[in-house]
Order: sequence, then C-alpha cells, then structure tokens
Amino acid sequence: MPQISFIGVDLNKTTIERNREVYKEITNIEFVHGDVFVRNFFSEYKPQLVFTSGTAEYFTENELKTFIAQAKKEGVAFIIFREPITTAIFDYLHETRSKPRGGMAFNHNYTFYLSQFGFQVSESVDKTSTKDVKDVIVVGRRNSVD
Amino acid sequence: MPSLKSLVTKLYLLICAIPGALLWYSPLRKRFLPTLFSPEKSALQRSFSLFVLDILFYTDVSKYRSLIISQEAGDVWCDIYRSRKDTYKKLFSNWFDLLEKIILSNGLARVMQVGCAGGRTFSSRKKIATNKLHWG
Repeated sequence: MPQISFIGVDLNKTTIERNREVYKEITNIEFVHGDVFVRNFFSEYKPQLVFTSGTAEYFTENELKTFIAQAKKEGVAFIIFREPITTAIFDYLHETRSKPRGGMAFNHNYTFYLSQFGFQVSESVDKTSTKDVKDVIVVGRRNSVD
Repeated sequence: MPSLKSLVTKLYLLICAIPGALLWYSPLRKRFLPTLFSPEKSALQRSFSLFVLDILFYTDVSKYRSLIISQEAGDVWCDIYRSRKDTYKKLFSNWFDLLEKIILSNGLARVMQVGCAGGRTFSSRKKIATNKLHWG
C-alpha cells in the first residue's frame, strides 16, 4: 500500500500554524492556509479524495457548484460531504435550491449537485443527527467513464 | 407564502439585531468581533452575533466568511473545536470509520480535507490503521 498523504486546507492561518506544530512529527500530514475558491488546491495537490465536515455548509450554492466542478475537472475520484441540514426548513428529498439556515450556514442538497456533475452518489445519515438537524454523509464517486 | 409565525420570528430577530447592527457600524466593532463564536455571551454580544452571522453575512458570503474566519473570531472557533476533541472522537466515530473504509478499500494515496477546523478529523484518529497509514 502506498504512503497516504493527508492535506488539510483552512481559511484560518492560526489554526494551520497550530496544526503544523501539533502534527510536526507526522510526515504525511500537511496543513495549508488558503481559500479554496481563490487558490486551486485540487490542481496543486491532486487529491484523489476530497472531503468536508461542517465546512461546505458555509458555501453558497454557486460556490458548492464551483467546488464540485473544480474537483471533477482536476480528476478527484471521491468527494464526501458530511454536513448538517435543518429538517424543519429544508426538505432534502425534494428541494434542490440551497437555502440559508442562519449562523453563516446554508442547507444544500449535496446529493443533487454531486449527481448533476455526474458523480455516483450514496448517502447516509450520521448517528449525530438530532430531531431538527440531520447530519448527512454524501459520498460522490466519479464515474470511471468520465 | 410565509406563515405568520415565520414573519413574526423574522421581525423579532430583526429587532434583536438592532443593537448589534449599531455596534458593527461603530468603532467598537473590533472589540466585539472576537466574541462572535464565544460560547457564553452578554446580551449585546448575542445581538452582535445575530446581526453579523445571521444577517450581514448573507449579503456577501465570500467577503464576510474570509473576514470572520481568518481573524480572531476564527481562532476562537477553532479553539472551541479543539477543546471538544475527545467528545468528537466518540461522537464522530461512525463518520471516521466510513472515511477510513473508503480510503483503504479504494487504495487512495492522497486525501484532502477542506476546512480542517482545528485538525478535528485528523486528530481524531490516533490509531495507525496500517504500517503506512497514519490517521492523525
């Protein structure tokens, strides 16, 4: 099995610096500061899998589409979103347009957008979900014919 | 058609956000910005957060996301995540297992997390799944 390299990207520089310090002895983890919509990290690092956990909820609908499109263009094989959905104001089965959910966040239909970009999608609901907030885990796998 | 309850709620939130809006446009803004994600807040800090995170933010998402997360408020936010590391380790165990399974079963060699929030996911796996895989 090849050495697996992990790259963590974040907008917050302090976090990146702290993480570099905490994980300095682990050589296959790299932390990089920057905005994924400004710098093309997918092209630079060529990840095979990109995931977000409580991050894509802070993207706009257009940013989410850009994110998926960019990843697809750069050959990312898997995109995984683990993100919360407020069930009271968003019907995940039927709504495809994103909606603000307060506190800087949005409800997005991750399944719909990954499918739109030709990813094979499987979804599940995490055990962390509550009555009001569903934590969806949406796995998009690139079609091998793409 | 929005319901009456929804309209009343929105009106109530707008009223509550007025002091916060005044603070935003005052010289006190810098002092209040780091408190945006503090778990315990005064009434004024709550109003400020309500205005910034629930109203102002949506007027220009990319601008305010960078402004808020890249500065002190973002540091506080990441500190909160870091302080909950042990709780998250248990809480998100299913998610970490799934992620690990996908990585290993597909023989993936390059994995990127966007928004690494205090190294939460990386730090949640101290175990070494294989000799070659160091999961944080």
